[in-house]
Amino acid sequence: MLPLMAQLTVSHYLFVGAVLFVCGVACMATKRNALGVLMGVELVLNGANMNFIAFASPLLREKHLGLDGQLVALFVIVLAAAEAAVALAIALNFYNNHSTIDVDRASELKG
Amino acid sequence: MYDELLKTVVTLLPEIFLIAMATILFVGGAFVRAPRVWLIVTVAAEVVATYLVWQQSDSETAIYGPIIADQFGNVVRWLATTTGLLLVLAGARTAKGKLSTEFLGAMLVITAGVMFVGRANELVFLFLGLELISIPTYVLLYLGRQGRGTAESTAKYFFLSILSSAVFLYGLSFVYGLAGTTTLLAMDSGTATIQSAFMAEPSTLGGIALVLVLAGLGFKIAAVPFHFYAPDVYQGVSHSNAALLSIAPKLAGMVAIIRLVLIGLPGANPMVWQLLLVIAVITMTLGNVSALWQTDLRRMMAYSSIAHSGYMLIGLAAAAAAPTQAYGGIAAVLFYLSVYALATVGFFAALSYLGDNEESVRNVDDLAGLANNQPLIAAAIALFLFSLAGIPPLAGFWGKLTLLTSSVDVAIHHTDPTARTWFLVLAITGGINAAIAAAYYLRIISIMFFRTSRTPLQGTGGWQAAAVGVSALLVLLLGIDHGHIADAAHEAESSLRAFPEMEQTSLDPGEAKLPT
Repeated sequence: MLPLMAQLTVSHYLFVGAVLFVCGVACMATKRNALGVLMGVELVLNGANMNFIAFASPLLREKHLGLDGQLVALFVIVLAAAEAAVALAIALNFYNNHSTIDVDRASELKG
Repeated sequence: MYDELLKTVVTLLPEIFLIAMATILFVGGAFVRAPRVWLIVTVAAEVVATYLVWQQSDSETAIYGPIIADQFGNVVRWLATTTGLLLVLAGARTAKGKLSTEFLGAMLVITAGVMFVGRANELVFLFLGLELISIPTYVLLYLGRQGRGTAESTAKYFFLSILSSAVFLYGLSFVYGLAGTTTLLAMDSGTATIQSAFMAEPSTLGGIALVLVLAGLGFKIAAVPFHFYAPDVYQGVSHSNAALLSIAPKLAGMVAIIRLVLIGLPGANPMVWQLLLVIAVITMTLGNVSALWQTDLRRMMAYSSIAHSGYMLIGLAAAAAAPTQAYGGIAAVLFYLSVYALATVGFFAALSYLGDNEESVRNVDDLAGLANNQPLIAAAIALFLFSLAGIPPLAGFWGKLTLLTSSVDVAIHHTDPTARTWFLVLAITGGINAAIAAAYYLRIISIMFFRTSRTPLQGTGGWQAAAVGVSALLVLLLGIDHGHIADAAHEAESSLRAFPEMEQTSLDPGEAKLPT
């Protein structure tokens, strides 16, 4: 049987979640644009969401766990939207003060 | 069914009231421009919430779906409403500005968030409670002050805080996957809970989940290695926002560690106490030593807040090393949290009273000669700093004493000799750190009392003065009447352990057998 035809298990989804998580963290660490950093955050949150959905799925696990995992994912999606709204306000405020949204330029507070 | 729903609503009454008032403020502020009236409304709302919490304060331990009503939650709610009230008063200058209702509404939401975290019995509820604190905090940070420094510290805090929340959530997903449920505790042992799932053998995935969860919460309490943001952020924000940052996330983070890591995941990893112990030692030493050569007041207080997190981690490590014994680790953390919160909010309220704009009280030297022109405020600041330093008759001393006692208790009674040595080292490090901390607190006091200044500071703002007075009174009261508060904290700790999986064994320390 081709490897692609092998049955999908929870761990395949966990792997995708882990890749999303690592990509998100790497994106936050390397991007200089504030909005790019924000996209990294969304990737990390979606990595966690992927785990919740995979763990809760009735198709992947023998034991049926109810809707807890899916509910968490829904809450997180709403939360990410709220955070994006605040993030845009903060980025705008940063732009008003620094005339750029390059976060590397934020280097006044040191000691 | 409706009966249970009604009960849930009644137990959540203070939180629901606060959220409703916040909504009224957010919407009403768009139509009615009357900052003074809104400030009075907010203060009244916090007072009413405190009263509602007080009415429910002797409730029996019970679980209503995602909410757990126990003594521990009640102590946290008390602390949340009291410090919430003081923070509103301390931030009165912002509250009278252009965006007053946004500020006041966000403060109420943060108070409700801390209360939710204190009573969460569900991962979703816990996470949303933490976010209910974080998101309004981002808004508050840049409402307080305008300028390049504020924009920079807001951006820094926002991106790091949101990353920590995401890491925390990623850890929670593994907790959920291993346990198969989002409920932390249940009254009967038949129901599947995270606690019972994690009582079994430790697993690799459980260890990963634990590290991720601790990393996320470590940011909230500013523990090493997630402390580096604190000095920069504190320096850039207003005095009252610095007070908020050093209290609300710390309170919620500590409570979440107790609820989730110490009680919820007892068997996730036998190494958890070692981890907490090492973090405690590094956090308090680094915080205190770095604070020694700071000249910026808020920067110094940031390092001091890091050091205080280190002290509180002593209690958490002691509680983690003896999961089935009541050695007072959690009670000591609760007591110390209240002592620390009151003294910190009082100190920042005093700075806010003195500094009309944040630039006039910026460095330690700006406080020179304060004892001559503002003797009362200088005395109050000295009181708060003495309490933070842990000078004997004051509350801070009793707080440090209970924390170190819990560590020494473990050092005496633990069955594992390595653990005994380590907890002895922990207690000694804590004692040495208290001595180092006294150096920089006393430096501020000596500058206030023994140096003169050519430009005397003018105090303005009755609300801030009220905050200073109330906190000074409470700090004194905690010092004199520490027995009652300590009793309440101990009751809170035992209420946490009154569940089937964590049956308290012998309370007699002489006979106590600890797990190795």
